[in-house]
Amino acid sequence: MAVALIIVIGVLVVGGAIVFGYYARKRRIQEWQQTAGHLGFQYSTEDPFDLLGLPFDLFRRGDGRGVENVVWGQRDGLDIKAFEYWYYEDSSDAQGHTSRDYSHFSCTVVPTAVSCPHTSIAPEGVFSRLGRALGFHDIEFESEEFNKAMKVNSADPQFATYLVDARMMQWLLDNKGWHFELCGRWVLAYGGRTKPKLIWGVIEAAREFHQHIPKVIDETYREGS
Amino acid sequence: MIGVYIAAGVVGLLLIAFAVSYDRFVRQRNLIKNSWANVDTELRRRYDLIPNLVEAVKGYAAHEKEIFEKLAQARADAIAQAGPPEAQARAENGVVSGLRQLLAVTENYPQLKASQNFLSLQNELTNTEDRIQAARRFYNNNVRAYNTRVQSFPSNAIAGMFHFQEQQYFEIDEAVARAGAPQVDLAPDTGTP
Repeated sequence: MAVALIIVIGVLVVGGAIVFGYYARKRRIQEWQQTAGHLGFQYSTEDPFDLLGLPFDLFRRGDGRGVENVVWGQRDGLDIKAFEYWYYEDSSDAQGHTSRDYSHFSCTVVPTAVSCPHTSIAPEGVFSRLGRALGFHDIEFESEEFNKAMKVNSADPQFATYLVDARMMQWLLDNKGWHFELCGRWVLAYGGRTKPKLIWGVIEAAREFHQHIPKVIDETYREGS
Repeated sequence: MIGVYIAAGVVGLLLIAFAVSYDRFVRQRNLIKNSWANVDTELRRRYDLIPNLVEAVKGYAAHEKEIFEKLAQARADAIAQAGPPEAQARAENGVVSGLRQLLAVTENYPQLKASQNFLSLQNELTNTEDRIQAARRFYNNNVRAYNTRVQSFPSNAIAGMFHFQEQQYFEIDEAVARAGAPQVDLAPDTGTP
């Protein structure tokens, strides 16, 4: 009798979890559809653009990864693609037990007029602060406040210096929390996963970052200049 | 015997660290030279622009002779300057002062300000100022990173041994007020990934 009860409870818990997961996913898709509608954007549960093919470091992390809930459209003539990205990392302990940890992000990709060397801009974290204290510096700028708040790395330090002028520096300090990557003709802005209706935050971050790219970048890095 | 191996290992590690540090100083010094060459290129763009700008203003304000002569002299002094960045900066500030006076004069001539040729030259000057400032920032960032190593322990020991001396920063004013600068228009491509 007791065994049967345990089996029934087990089936109910597993079944409940499946049903809950199904409705949670359905509700999230509905929220995405509503958000896309409010923005005047199109929506797809899957990735119609092969976004993982873009050359960003974020899309190389983990042992497996995926893109879902993609919305796309135009703002002020700028092509915008916003989406959810996740990756997982497998690990195992000494007893051979394996576990899988997922990380989720809300992202936006916008195009640039010039081909950019790989460059990343992110808030300083615990490890990068420790690195700084030990003398391992990323690209340093004139403002010590900025150097302490943000870490900048680039395959071409001159590009990074031209990119982060006083105006861009101030904007980044006023909008801490977002991560940016530039590579080829693309800019990626991302942060921790948000609710669908809050995706506008990362879209605005990408759009404003794009607006703050100095004109000198266009003049110096456009092919043939 | 183990003590000898440990001592040899420590000496070997110290020699490697020494070589790496020395090589980094050489790379940084070369980077400073290259970034200074960039600054120089951008400054020359501005020198080339000045005669055209003066000619455009002369067409409307020929009697402002003193300002033209002062700017021409400052430009000649800056071109002739082959000294360190500090001396170059002093010479450039003379050019900047002359350019500011020239641009201030144009305020009195609405026809000149509306001239397509003048507007195009002013736009070119703004772009050149942006390029000078960007090149200056890169040069100064490289100097800062290098000077920090020249001053910090333990790299200061190698700097002292091989005469890696502190480099000068390059600080100049901007001739064109940023408020009057054209808006940034980085037209995006609309392709899809």
